Amino acid sequence: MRETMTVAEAVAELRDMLAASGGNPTIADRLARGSLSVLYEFENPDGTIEPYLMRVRRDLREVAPGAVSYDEADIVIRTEPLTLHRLSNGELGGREAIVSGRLDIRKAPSMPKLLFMRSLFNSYKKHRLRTEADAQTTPGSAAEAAP
Amino acid sequence: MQSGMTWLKDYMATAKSGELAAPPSAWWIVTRACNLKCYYCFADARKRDPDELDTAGAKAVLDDFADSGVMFVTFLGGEPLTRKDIYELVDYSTDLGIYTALLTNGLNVRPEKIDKLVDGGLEMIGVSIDSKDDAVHDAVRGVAGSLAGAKGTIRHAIQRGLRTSVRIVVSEDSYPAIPDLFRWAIDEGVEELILLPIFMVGRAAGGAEDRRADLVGKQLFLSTLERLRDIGEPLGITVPQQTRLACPQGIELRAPDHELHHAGHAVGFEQSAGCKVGRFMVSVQPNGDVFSCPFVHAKVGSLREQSIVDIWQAPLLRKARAEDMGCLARSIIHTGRADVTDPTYVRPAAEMLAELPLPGTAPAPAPVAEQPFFPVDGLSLASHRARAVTSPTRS
Ligand SMILES: C[S@@+](CC[C@H](N)C(=O)[O-])C[C@H]1O[C@@H](n2cnc3c(N)ncnc32)[C@H](O)[C@@H]1O
Repeated sequence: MRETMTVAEAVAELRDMLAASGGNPTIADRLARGSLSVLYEFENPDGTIEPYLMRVRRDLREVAPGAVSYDEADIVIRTEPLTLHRLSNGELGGREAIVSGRLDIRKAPSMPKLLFMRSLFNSYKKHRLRTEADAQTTPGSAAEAAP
Repeated sequence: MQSGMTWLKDYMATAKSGELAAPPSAWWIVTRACNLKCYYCFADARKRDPDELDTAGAKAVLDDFADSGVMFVTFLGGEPLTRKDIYELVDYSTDLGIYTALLTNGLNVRPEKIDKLVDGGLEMIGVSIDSKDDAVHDAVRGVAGSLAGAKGTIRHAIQRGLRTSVRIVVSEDSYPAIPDLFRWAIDEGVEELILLPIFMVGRAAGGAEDRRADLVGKQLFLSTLERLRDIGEPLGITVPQQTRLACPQGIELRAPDHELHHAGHAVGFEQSAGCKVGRFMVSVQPNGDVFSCPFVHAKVGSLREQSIVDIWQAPLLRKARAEDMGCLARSIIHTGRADVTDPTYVRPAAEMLAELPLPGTAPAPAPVAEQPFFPVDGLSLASHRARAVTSPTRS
């Protein structure tokens, strides 16, 4: 379990999540019908905020630095990078993150958009679980080779 | 950080006022096939219905839910794990972003099955237990070995990091040992206990004393909550109390100082007070018909023909949103109609009980020691067995 995480690492994970979602037909099907933009306001330990905008639609999957006005985003989330990591690998559920105050939803999404965001997180979580399981069963993998 | 919490509270408040475009939660009887024979089964589960939605039909319903904003789906049955495509449906549902839970009886649930559910992204598993005692549980549920299966399922699920709930139906059979089960669940690391009053619907219905059984069953349920409050308090566990409604109640088994307290169940609907009909949930039947609640057998639409958004505007659901009618399952049990106020919600139980004729001429038997009730037909396995013998219409 990781104890710390930088904004750059969290952003790299978000990009990895978007790349992994490319292979998921259910998400492709949803993207054919809609889009999603999430403004992440990452909190640094010194209290400063680093905004990143994640945009997903049929022809675009990107996470870019910079902010937009709240009106232009479907969802606005303020959080520490580590919380996002823990959400995407399943250590923390969305509700727990909110209830414990680690995830601050500053602009509430419509329910279908929230489901769309969860869909990206869920499929990434499963993708990572499956990749780990494959690595453990592949002969000669690190897990097998360990004494 | 306050506004995240505010959002969640707003969402719950909007749901409670019935202003969401679609129900937040759907309880979906994906099959009526079952490997157990619980005498009280509200779904009257035995074997698969011929018109059960197939995989494609079920996925189309899930698509509609995701497009409409239905956040939580609980697959139940019958026994949902008897459906071969259940893993595919769980996987599809979580791919759509839906918080997906599943209820099982735990019989023949090998660890690999739970692993497959985890692989599919399942977020919570509920396991039904009626007693810590194998003889009682297995008799109530009709198959030997079912308690062992249920316990094994819970243990493996916890080991795999899956959120778990234990679901207990309060009957004359389960009542005496519920405190033991409560302590057991805490010790095992179960996150939530769901206590259900026994509803006289489905296989539970049809006895000579359904109305009496409902009234006494309701009292048993309310008194169980009180008993658990006394046990929970010193352990730092809050057991919500109910006074008039007697609706299935979730009890968070984590102490309030736990950092994830109140995070266990989907969004805590079962912890919210008041009837959930028209506000928090619908129940889907195997063929896509929609009922207002698993225990209210009144059809409000069909997902084969309509979107859940349209069904959510059904007259019965609108009426339930506009009026505080009590429990609509009890409206049906006591009046035969779902669209009238539940009489047990507005009248004292003692008064209603006094008006009900005692069956036959025999004087009421005395309450059994430590059990504050007279045995009533419908509230125990023994009474159901007696029914099967005396009633020629029952098989
Ligand atoms: C019908 S079962 C289906 C799922 C699964 N087979 C199981 O045993 O959990 C769903 C839940 O409803 C409960 N239940 C069944 N009949 C009931 C009734 N008449 N009143 C209240 N709860 C009931 C069961 O004990 C179980 O917890």
